[in-house]
Amino acid sequence: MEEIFSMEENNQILKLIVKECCLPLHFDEQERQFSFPFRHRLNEIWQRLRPKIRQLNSEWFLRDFNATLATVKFPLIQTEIIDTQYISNDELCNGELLELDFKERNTPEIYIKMGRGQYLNRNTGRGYTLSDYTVFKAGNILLTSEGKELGEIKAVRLHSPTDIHIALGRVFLSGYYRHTVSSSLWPIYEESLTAVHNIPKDIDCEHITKIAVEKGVGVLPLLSILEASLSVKL
Amino acid sequence: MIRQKEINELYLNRLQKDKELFYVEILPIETTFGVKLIRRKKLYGICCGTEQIAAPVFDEVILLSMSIADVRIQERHALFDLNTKKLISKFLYERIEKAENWLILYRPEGRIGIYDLIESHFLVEDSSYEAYNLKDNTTEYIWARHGKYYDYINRKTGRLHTLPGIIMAYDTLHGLFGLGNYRKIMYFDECGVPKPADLRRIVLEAGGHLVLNNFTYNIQHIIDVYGNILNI
Repeated sequence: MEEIFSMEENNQILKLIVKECCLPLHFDEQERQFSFPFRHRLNEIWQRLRPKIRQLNSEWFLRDFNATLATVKFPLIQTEIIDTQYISNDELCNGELLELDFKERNTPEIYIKMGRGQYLNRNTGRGYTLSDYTVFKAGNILLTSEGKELGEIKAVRLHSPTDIHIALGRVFLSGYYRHTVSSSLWPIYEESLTAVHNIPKDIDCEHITKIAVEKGVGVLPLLSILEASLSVKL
Repeated sequence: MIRQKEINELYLNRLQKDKELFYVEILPIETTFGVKLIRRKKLYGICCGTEQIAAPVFDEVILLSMSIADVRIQERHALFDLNTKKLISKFLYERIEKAENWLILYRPEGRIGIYDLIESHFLVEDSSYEAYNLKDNTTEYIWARHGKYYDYINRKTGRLHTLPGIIMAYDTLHGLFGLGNYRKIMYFDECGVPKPADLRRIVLEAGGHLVLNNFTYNIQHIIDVYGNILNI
């Protein structure tokens, strides 16, 4: 039980930092970026939080606080990367991030599974429908359901959420894990696409967050879908 | 060990004397589960009608079910099977407690045995495990805790499955789930080998988020396909 408590203490510290230092989902029109921005006066927040954090873990110092903030600031790159030999379309959950290296291109591409056989390229914001029997494996040619070749796969990696995404989800997407993951995540993308390109000054991030919770979607897939919507040039 | 041997010898002596005893009146004490608890002089036994099930050689007899009795000689308890009319354990235990469909048998050195009243067999005859899942009767496996680590026991076969470094176990209808030292929950086969593909399949079938409970410690963990715990 001691190990459980230690794990829970660390999670509590992370959640405390996220709750006190971050604001809910926000779209910065100038930076064209969705994020959970920091509050002002972080040094004062640290002074206030320090006694509570030290009660949970006496080995926590300012450098740990700063290191945690650095990871919270860029959640899209703070994933756990898992090299995968083989995974089929049926074995992927909606919202999962799949990184593919192609023979024809130097830059890896990240795909978000949005529905049955449907994927969203995070880099370009384009959606694709693949065959239900698609297998992601080095050497396979990735084909859309219309027969278009997307490229020959060289490597496959999965991006797992980390403690940061879980803490952000606990604070700002409360209870999303109590919903089953929806069979289609496109409504989140469409909501964001419409808002970003039509009313960027007045994006209702609260509404987007609510949709994500109802669809059982966590922070990593949510931010990825939003990122993809920003990549689309209308 | 010595004490158990002494008590065993006392039991055998009493049995022998009981056979050689000239008539001494047997008194019925009470009837439970359709059998009669009897007393001769200061010792107790069990009868069913005119048939003697257990000779009156015990210091105490407690009927636990239709087929099992707790019998005591001096300070040691054992289990007696009413169907076979035989002891099914040695006089090892300082007390026996009934917990729903289980008997928990406590040895003086802090070791525990578990007897399954439904399957009529010992799940664990003698072990150093400190706690078990006795709250949920529907699980395929029962977890057993020793210190901070957990193993599982197959409910039907009584076979022990050792999982590597598991610090929390769960009450699930089927399967072996455990929380490892890397703060991820894993699914194991019966050899203790993690099976991430099976975990993924099970979580997908549950709709992308799987709820795991440990009812003894009131713990609930909700996980994703990677075994990440989402709700703590």
